[in-house]
Amino acid sequence: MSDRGVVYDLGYVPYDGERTGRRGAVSATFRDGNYRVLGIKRRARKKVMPWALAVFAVLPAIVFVGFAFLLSTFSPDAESPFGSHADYFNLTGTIVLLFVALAAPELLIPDRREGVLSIYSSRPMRPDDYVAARFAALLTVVAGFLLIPQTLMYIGFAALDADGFFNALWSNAGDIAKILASTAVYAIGYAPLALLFATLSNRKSAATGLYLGTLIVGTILGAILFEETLLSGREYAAMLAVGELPTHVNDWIWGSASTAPMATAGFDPWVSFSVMIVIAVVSTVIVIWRYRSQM
Amino acid sequence: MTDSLISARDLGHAFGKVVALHSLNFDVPAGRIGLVGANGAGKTTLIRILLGILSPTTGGATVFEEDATSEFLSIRSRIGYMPENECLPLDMTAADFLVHAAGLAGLPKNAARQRASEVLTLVGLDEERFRRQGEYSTGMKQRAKLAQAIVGHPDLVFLDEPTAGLDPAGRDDMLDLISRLGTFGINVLFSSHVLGDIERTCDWVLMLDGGTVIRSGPLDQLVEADVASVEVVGDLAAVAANLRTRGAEVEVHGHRLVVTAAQADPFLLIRDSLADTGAGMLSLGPRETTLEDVFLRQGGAR
Amino acid sequence: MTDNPAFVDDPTVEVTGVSKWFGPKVAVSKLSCSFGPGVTGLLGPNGAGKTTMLRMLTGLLRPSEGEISVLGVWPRAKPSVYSDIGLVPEESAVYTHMTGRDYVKYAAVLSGIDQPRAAADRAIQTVALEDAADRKLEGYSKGMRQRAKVAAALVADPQILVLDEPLNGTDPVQRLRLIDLFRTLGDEGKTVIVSSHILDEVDRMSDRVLAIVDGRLAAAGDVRAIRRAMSDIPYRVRVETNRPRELAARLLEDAVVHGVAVEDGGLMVETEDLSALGRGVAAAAKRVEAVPTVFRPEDASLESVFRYLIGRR
Repeated sequence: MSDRGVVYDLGYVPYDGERTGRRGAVSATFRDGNYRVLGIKRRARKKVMPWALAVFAVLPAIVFVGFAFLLSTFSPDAESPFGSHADYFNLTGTIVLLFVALAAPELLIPDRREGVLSIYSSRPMRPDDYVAARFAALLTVVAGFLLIPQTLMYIGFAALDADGFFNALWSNAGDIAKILASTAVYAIGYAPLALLFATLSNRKSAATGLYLGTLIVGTILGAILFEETLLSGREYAAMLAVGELPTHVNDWIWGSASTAPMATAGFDPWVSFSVMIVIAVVSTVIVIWRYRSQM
Repeated sequence: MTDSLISARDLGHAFGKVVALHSLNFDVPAGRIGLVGANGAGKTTLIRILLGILSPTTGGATVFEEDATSEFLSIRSRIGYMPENECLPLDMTAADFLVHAAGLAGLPKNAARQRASEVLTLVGLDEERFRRQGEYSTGMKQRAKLAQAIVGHPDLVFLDEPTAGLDPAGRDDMLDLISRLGTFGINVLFSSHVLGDIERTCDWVLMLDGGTVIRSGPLDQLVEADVASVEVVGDLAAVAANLRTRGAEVEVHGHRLVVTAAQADPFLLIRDSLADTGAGMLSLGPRETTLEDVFLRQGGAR
Repeated sequence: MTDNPAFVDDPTVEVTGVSKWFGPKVAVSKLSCSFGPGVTGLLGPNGAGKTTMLRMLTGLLRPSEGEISVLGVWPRAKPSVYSDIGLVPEESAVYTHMTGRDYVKYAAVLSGIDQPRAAADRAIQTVALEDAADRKLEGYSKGMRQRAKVAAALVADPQILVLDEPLNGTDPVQRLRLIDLFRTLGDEGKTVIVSSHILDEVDRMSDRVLAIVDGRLAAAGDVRAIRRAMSDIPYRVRVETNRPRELAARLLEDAVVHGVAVEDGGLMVETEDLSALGRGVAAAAKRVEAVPTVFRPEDASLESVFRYLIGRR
């Protein structure tokens, strides 16, 4: 009909849309942190440890609920001996410890060694923002490890409860606060210290090894000094078992007698809690201080 | 300080006793700016101050007329940076990393994905973008680094030695891209040792030596329109003599004659002298001081 | 008298039918050339065989086929020849805790020469590293490390010097000094082989160049002669004048001019014979009363030559 034609210029198109500024940069860093510790968008072998640990964290919950279900079909009034929230936290606590020992170095060290920090230094965010975003990413995934199986059990057992689903949910509601509290305790007890080691060391294996080593040696040393010697003030040695602090506080939350070394040494759970907080705060402060000088 | 893209007033920085920058003063307009200087001349320190990573020990600098130290958040949301050092996460593909970089630059999710893809095509990373950056050659890495610097469509991009390690073809491509950035509306601060690269791509040059500014000005000011320079093929002496009889002043530099004439057009005189003597020209043009000449003249003696 | 520019009359390094493969990848393919006193520039794109060539010249790699002889022998067969080869490698393989002077002295000691201290001092002076010689290498800038490496390569006064990207990171002043130094060494009769991507500098330093593309010798000899040899690619020359169209018409009457385009207020003249055009343009301009103010060949430089070489596959 008409002799018209048009050629579109496919050259560079400037962007003049929405910009999310500092908030966007921080959330991008947070998101990337989550992907990094879970091995998402990275080689397959980086996914192995996180997902294997995730399975170990969640599988027992599925098994317990399944077992309770089977039990209830055979003898409706029997109570399952498995699946107390308190015990489960002890189990997943160890898994979380391993996860954090591997994830913290993965989260912080490559950015420094590969020079990616130069790019973050040119983005609209402060060094504190970077640290906070990475912290938040690790804490979020750790919380996931802890909360997901607990939630599964909570809902699963409620579904099987003789009094009915909603009644069970309601009457066990007190547990919810305890679940959240314990999650926070384990996260704060393990993550900041791991991030500290990942800041002070530039090799991933060294950071992991030193972190785990420090905790193990602390526990052993504490045990030896406390149980095998008769030195005065030896109860304080029990505090060297830094890795057991969350366990002590967790036991107290759930009202069970604690077998943690500091409990045996006669310390109040509040003391353990305070020591944990102090360690977390000091670790965080040092990490921020180091990153401020590097960015 | 009106309308300058970047400016400095008495800007100084010392690392302990070592003074990296001594009281710099300059105003640089929008466009493509070359930052030239020796190692240790203070280029990197200056860039880090402009990025807000370092605080100057004396004086101040502005970018987009905002103070570089106090307004760094605002400035950084409008700039991109291509560092000299390695800076790419080796276990990520460029495709994934660019989406992340776009997010860091403040682009919302869908826009980020789109821009990342477009910019990777622009810099010439096609199927390679789906391979991990740890496997990239230097050329590919430099392209990815440039891509992440411009993915947010910054108003100004800092390029630190963007052609380092590239072979001539790669250097060509990179310099072409850099030249085109201006047409995209992106200002450039191009920091390099290689004067030829700067001469080819920049409009303005800022030269540092030993922590001081030895020159800040447009590149075309280096051309002196009334003075002609000709490379002669043939009897150089005859040509020079012929020119002198026509009243020109002639300097001889190897095969090159630099010709000035008080009352006449030196190019006219050259034309006639060559026609007379039958010699040929290999090149002809206004006398151009190269950046190298400037450097040697004003900075070299250290 | 050899006519082939790939070879020299008085070779110190000879490459005969050399190929090198790494599994299925052929890095160098049946290459023959020779090097002698003077400065030879070695060019080529990344991954095209240039680095492999350099490593074979210094005996670090053995050719899969063919022969390399340095001063008459394959370097690894007669290790004493190593004192006659100085290598400045691209990687920064320096011991950072040493001072510059110690590093150069160490190199001197390794080559087994008589007075290592004196030789080291001389070498350091040659590269103008006196001021920083007693500082640790870890505090050196890139340019200073380069000079230290050059000094280490020169310390035993080798007859052959192989330089891989020697000007990397150096500032303009140091660059010129080093270019001068290499030229002088070449003039003194040493065989200097320089590999670099910065073609402008290779052009300045070298008496001849060898270009390796896809593992084969793509061109050899003097840069301008190489360009002339590309007779199927006409020269493009930018000409500016006050009377462009008149000059264009006049130039087109000359057989050596293939075409004239009016561009950007000036002319782009295509010619098969650059020197003929250069000889004729002044007279032509005078005839039409035009005053040329610019005559600038756009593609006669080593950069352009290189670009054309890469394009011909």
